[in-house]
Amino acid sequence: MSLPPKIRRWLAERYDIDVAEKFVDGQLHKPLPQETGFWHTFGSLSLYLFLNQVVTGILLMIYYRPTTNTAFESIRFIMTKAEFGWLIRGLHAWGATLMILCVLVHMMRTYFMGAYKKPRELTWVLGVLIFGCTVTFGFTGYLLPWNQLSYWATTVGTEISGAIPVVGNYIKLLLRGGEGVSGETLARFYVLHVVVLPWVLTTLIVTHLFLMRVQGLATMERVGEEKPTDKKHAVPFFPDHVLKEGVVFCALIGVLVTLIVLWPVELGVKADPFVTPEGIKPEWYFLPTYQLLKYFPKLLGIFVSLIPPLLLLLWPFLDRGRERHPKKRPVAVTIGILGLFLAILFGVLGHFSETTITWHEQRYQLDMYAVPHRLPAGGEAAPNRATKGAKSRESNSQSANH
Amino acid sequence: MVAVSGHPVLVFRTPQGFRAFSAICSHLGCIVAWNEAHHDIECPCHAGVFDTNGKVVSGPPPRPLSEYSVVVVNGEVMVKTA
Repeated sequence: MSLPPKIRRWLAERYDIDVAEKFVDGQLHKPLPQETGFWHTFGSLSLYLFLNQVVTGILLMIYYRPTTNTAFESIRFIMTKAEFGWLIRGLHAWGATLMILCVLVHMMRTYFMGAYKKPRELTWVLGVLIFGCTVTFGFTGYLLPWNQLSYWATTVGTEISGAIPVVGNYIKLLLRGGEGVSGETLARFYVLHVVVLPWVLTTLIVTHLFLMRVQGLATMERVGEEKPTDKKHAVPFFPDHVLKEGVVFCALIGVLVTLIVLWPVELGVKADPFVTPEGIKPEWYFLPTYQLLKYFPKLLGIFVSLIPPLLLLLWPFLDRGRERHPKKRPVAVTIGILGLFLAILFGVLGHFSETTITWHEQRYQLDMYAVPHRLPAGGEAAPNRATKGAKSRESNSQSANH
Repeated sequence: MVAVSGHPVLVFRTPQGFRAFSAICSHLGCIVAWNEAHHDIECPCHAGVFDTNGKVVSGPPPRPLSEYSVVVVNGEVMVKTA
């Protein structure tokens, strides 16, 4: 790839253009290891989705007003009056969900292919921080529509932080800007969501990408035995890998638009600090933690729920074996599959807990631990105190509102 | 349900007189509500159940609901905040 001669000459008179051209060319045609396949595209997909969040976020900011009297109404305006506002909000809300999903798949690929091992430990640590930052984006953005679900999910979420010894109440106060979730909280979450987090995440992503480019992609060879990429068998970044990414990117756009059209993002009912609706559930990515917290007293629950993220963060320093191939790492792979299974299990339990379901024409009431209790035909839920979650509640439709 | 100095308060009548409790659940801060069918106070978030004395009957709340004193002056029910 070269610049038009006139522009090149103009730049060459001012800058050392050869160095820049050599750098760009080297990056563009960087040979990637043979193992680089479709699973390697999820990192780039996460990046595309982040860019989608930035662009749609800026567009939403034009009409969004972050005060308790105007937030809900401004989103309603975006959804009903603003040209293509429904599409922009849909892209933002579903884009957030897909971004978290892509980051998770990217992390799983890295984990199972042993790519976090020496010398790429810090790239993994940055990746875990990127994941943490992404879900914090989700948490802060969830409050912004100022509807009942977002208000109460935020109340419960911030209340949990109050149980941390010594500093808990200060953290809660810092997050809320007062005793309860109010306009102060909305302002704080807005600033975090549109100013602080975007810059933090951008810095993390740039550093993550820089390290990835400098060290190159991991191969499946043992730690310390990685051979330099053989140019004859390598996959050129451009055009081969970029084309692969293009294919997946098109599929992603298809999925995104399908989701927006078939499952439009709802606005719900405006927040009312005096009435808590039934069926308050967090977004799907918080469901495993939400469910886990129910099995332990508050403080112990916080410590238990901190174990998985801490394990993720420190994993490259705990698993120091030299093998990368999953077949040669039975312990790490078993732990990975078990962790994944538990996350899905707790997520499903969280989703169905405190709901009523019908199974083979028999109605069951699921208590807070998602244990089913048979309901008498046609009758209301029996007030069974022993089940703790004994409430008649028609299924889960209130969860996962963006 | 009434607002007392901006806080949601649950006021109800018992054979012994009026009682007033903070409607903020001692578990995670959701707003509890009177359940007429069960004659108790229930939290919609994590199924905490309180009796008419504000004490925890079941569920995760760690403490009873805070009680406010109530006085009736000239037929008007007054809730004391301090």
